[in-house]
Amino acid sequence: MIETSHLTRYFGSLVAVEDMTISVDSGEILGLLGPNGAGKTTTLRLLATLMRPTSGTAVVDGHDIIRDPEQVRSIVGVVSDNQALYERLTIYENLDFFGKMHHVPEAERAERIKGLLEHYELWELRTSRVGTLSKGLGQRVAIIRALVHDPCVLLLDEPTANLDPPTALNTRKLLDYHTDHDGKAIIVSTHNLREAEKLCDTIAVMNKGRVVAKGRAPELIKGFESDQAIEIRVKGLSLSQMHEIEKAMYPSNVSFKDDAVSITVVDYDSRAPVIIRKMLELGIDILEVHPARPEFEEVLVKIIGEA
Amino acid sequence: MRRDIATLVKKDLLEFKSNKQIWIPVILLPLLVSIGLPTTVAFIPSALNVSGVIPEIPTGLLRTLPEELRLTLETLEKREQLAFLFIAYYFAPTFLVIPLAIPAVLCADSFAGEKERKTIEAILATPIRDSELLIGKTLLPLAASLSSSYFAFIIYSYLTNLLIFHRFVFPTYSWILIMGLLVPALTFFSVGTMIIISARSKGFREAQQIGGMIVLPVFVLLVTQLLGIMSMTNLSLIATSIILTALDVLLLKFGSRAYTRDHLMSNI
Repeated sequence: MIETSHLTRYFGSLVAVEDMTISVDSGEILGLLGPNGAGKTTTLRLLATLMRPTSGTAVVDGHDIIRDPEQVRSIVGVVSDNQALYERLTIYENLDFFGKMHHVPEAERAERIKGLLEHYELWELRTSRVGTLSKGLGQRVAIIRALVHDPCVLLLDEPTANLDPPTALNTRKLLDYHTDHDGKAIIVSTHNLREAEKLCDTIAVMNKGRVVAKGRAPELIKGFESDQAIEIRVKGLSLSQMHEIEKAMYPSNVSFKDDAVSITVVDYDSRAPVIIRKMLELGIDILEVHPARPEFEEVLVKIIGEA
Repeated sequence: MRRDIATLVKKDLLEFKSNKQIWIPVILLPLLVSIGLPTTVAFIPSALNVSGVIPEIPTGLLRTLPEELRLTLETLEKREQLAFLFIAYYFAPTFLVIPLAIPAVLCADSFAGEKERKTIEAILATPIRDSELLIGKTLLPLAASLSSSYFAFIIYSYLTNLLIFHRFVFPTYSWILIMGLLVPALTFFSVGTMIIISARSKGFREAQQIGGMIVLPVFVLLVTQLLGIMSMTNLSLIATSIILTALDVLLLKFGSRAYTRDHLMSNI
C-alpha cells in the first residue's frame, strides 16, 4: 500500500529525512517512533504530498507522490499533531467542507458524515461549534475529517498526544477498528512507547532523519536480550542449595533475595531451560519463573544511542 | 477546479460571518468614509453658524490645484467651491484607505490566520492545487474590498449631490479614473502585498500589524496634497494606476511563489 524508496528531505543543510525505505501493507499499522526532530512529522508530510522530497520517492496505492500528488491526496487521510479544525464552524460544517474539498458527491457525503458521526458518538453534537469541544472530542472530529473521503491510507501525527488516558485508549481502539474492518494502512507517529507497542504492528525507530531499527516491538526488544536476567521464585532454599546453584550456573551472575533467585544469563532462550532443569535436578521446588526482559523504553534509548 | 475554489470561498465567507473582528471593520470603514465625510461637509457650516459667510479658496492654494479641478470649480457657485474642493480632491486619499485596508484585514485572517491556526495543513492535504488555493483565498478579499469601495463610492456620490449641492455635480472625471483604475490597482496591490507578508509572518496579528503600514502612502499623499507639494491630476492618476498594475503583476507572481505547499509547510 505504501512504499518509500530512499526518501530524503533536507531543509537547507539540515537533514530531516534521509534515505528512508519502508513499506506498509493494507490493514497494517506502522509506528514511527523517535525523539523530537527525528523526522517523523516530515515523513508523514512527504507521504501526504504536503512537501516535496529532495530525492527519492514513495508510492501510495500505486500513485507516485512526485508525479501524481493530487491522486495521492485523494486517497490519503491526514491527522496532524494539532486538530486543524475551524473553531468557528460547527462539526458538521467542518466535515462537509472537507468532504467537498475531497470531491465526495453530496448524497454520499451526507450519508458518510452521518455514519461516521454516529460511529464516533458525535451525531448529537453535529451543530456544536468545534471551538466549544473538549480536546478529546476535537480529536475525534479530526479523525473523522481524515476519514470523510474514505481514504485507504491514514497518516496520523501523534493522534493521542495531550489526550487523557481513557480518550487515548478510545482513539487507539478506533484506529484498530479501521485497520481490522476497513483494511486501511496506517502510519502513526508517536512519542508514546506504550502506544506504539500496543497499537502498531511494526515500529520504525527514527533518529536524525534515519530509520535506525524496524520490526515488531518484541523483535526489537529481543535484539537487546543478550544480557538478560531470569528471576525464579522458589519454595525455600538451603545454604548448600545456594552453593550448588552458584556452582552450576558459573559464569552467570547469580543473586539471592528472600525466596527468589535472580540469574543474569547470556542467550536467554537457550540458557533458561537448562537453568530450570538444573534446579529441578537439585530438588528445588520452583514456584514461578520470570524472564526479566528489558523495558521497551530502555531498548529504544539503546537503539537511538547506538545509532 | 472551479468547484474547489467556490467551496473555499464559501467556507471563508462562513468564517468571516462568524468573526466580528473581521466583518465589523469591513462594514464600518466604508460607512464611515462614505457617510461621514459628505455629512460633515454638509452640516459643519450650519453647526458652526457660519452659513451666512461664504468661504473662499485662497488664490495661493488655487494655483497649486490641477487644471481640470480649477476649471470645474469655476463652473460652481462661490459658496460651493470649498465644499467641492474637499469632496472631490482632499478627501480622495482618505477614500483610498478602503481598497488598501480591507484586503489587509481579510488577507491577514485568510492567509496568516489559517497558518497560525494550522488549518492550512488540513486544506493542503486535500486534492486542491496550489494555484486554486491561491485564487480561492484571494477571491473573497478582492470581492469584499472592491464591492465595499464601489458601494461606498455610490453612497458618497449620492450624499454629496443630495446634501451638499442639491443637484448632480459629483463624480468628476478624476473620480471615475480613481474608481475605474486606481481602486482596482490598489486592491490588487494590497492583496499581493498581504500574500507575501502572510507567507513570511508567524500569525494573524503580526501580518495585520505589518500589513497596517500599507495605508501609510495614502497619508503621505494626503499631507503632500494639503501642502500643495503634490497634485492629483488625471494624468498622474493614470500613470500611478499603470505603475501599480505593473507592480501588482510582480507582487502576485512573487506571492504565488511564496504560496506553495512546500513553502507553506516549511514555514509552519
